[in-house]
Amino acid sequence: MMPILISAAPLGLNLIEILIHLFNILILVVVVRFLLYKPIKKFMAKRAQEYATQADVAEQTTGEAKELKEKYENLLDNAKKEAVKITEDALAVANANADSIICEAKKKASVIIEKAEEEIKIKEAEEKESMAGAISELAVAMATKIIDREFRQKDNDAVINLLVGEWKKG
Amino acid sequence: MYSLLGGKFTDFWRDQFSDAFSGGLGHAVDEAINPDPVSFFGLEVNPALYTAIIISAIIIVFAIILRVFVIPRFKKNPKGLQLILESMIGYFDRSAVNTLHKKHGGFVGPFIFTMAMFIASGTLIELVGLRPAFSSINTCFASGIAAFIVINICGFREKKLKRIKRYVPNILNLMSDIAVPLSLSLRLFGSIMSGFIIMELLYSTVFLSFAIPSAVAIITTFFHAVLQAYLFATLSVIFTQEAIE
Repeated sequence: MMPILISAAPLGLNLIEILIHLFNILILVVVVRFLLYKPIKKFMAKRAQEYATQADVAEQTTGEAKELKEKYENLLDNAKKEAVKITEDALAVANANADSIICEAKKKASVIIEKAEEEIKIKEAEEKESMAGAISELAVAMATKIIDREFRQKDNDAVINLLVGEWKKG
Repeated sequence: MYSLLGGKFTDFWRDQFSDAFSGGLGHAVDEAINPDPVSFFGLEVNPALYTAIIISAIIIVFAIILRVFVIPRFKKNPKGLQLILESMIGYFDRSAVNTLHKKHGGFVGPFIFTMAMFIASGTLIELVGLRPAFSSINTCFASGIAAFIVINICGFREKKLKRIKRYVPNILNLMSDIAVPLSLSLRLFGSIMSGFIIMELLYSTVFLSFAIPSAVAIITTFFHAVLQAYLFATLSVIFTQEAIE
């Protein structure tokens, strides 16, 4: 068996070098932590916070907008209903007015017609009166001619008037 | 003490490899595993330490530039660089906070983010010709110990003394705790070192040293960089979750 040599450390293991490396790593970690890690993390956290706040605000605004939308939709619905109601009311009133106007017009028309009919009757009566005179004269003339004798108006009035009266009735 | 078996083991395989490839490839592997030490304030260290410091400096300068010029101009709709930064930090923060809640997530999140960046860039720097920072066992152990410290800080904050008391009925808990940094560091070291060795082997062989490395680097460097960064971060979170439950 060969004697074991206590030679240089295997692979150059060296305690002082390890300590230097440890010191190096310590400085590196501290520098990177304070110059890179923390500021970037802080920036990212701040941005995440901002985004969260923005999301909250957006959510709130959306909620408010929805509420407003509902409110305005309700208002619009109400307004539409009111408009329909107003139109209907107006239509009803107009119809009623029209009806009353038509009714009045009909009444007026019937009055006018009645008046006209009365006037016609009066005129008819007058015409008949005047025509009766003319007829009686004509009859007297005719009778005079027929019997060739002059009747006096006064004598014949009784007979003729009787006839004329019957004609009027007829 | 710790070198008794490990040194023997690596020496043996190095010799085997050297014999098999008659020196050329063996030397490349030797260079990858045991590079010539460089001086660091009079201390002989693995060149990976320099890479780690360069990477840290780059990350710090990058962080300062981002903090001063980019972050103040962030927009609400992320695009380009902002989107990449936000996605990365958002991912690590979510994975930490969702698993560990806000109390520990705020502490673990920056750590796993930094470690993931450090591991990914420390491995990807291999593409510009530097030695990957995690090709040194020291860097990997330091990362594992850092994760261990973070895990235990969270554990003690959550459980107080109960965390120590649980060793009394079952001493195996102590071993499972110690296994955490070991597994984290050795996993990191193994995968990145293996990728690095493969690349070194390719470059050391003349007829393999053009065009092929660009294809192989996708698996050995890109894939490992992203995968190990992700694994380290995820496992740290999972171990922390175990510690606080």
